[in-house]
Amino acid sequence: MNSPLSPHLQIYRWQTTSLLSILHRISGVVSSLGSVVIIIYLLSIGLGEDTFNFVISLSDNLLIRTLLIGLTFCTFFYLASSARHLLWDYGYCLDLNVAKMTGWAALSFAVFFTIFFWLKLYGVI
Amino acid sequence: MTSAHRIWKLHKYSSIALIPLIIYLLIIILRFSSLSYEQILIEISGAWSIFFILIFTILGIFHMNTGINEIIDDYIHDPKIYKIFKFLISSFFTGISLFVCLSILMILL
Repeated sequence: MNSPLSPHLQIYRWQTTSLLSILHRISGVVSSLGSVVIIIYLLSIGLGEDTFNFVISLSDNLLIRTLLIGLTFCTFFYLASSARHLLWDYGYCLDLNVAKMTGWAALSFAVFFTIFFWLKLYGVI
Repeated sequence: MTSAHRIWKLHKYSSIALIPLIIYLLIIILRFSSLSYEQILIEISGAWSIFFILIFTILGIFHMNTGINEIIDDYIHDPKIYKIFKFLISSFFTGISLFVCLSILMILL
């Protein structure tokens, strides 16, 4: 408990890199909580066809679908952002401008693949 | 090497391993969306699928647990709230592990 305090967010000047860093943590936490969705899916398969069909039909609910789309976005963003953090750990892409560019690339990746994933899931493409 | 350094390294290794596993999971979800319940049951009860679920669960829970604990260490400084969050997090991941085992048993039996 004697670790140094993190920057106080309320007096911190927002920058692209810090915003993306916070988004990385938020998306990680949301993806962790989203693992419950996978567990429900697995359990429903084990419980039988009726339960499985019921769980699948829940995704027709607008609120649940919106949450699932948000979860997909967080997962894709966390995936891309983790790759970015790994590059930093090995000493690559540490230049400020490159860091900003890879941050926007991670965000674009998440938006593109979230749309692609849901279009594919609904058989549109 | 300190304990924190070792955990940080293991957290990074787990993220390297999880990248292809998450991509595979998303591909599986897309594939399953076009299959019937019986087809999904046959696919998921195969040895490879069970192995994938177990590896994914072990690595995923380790990665999520270390990541969330790091956030708690960084942002929660009140000892009481800190203890409550630590308890909630460990309960959440214990619950997830138990439900995954239960799901596998129900799928296989």
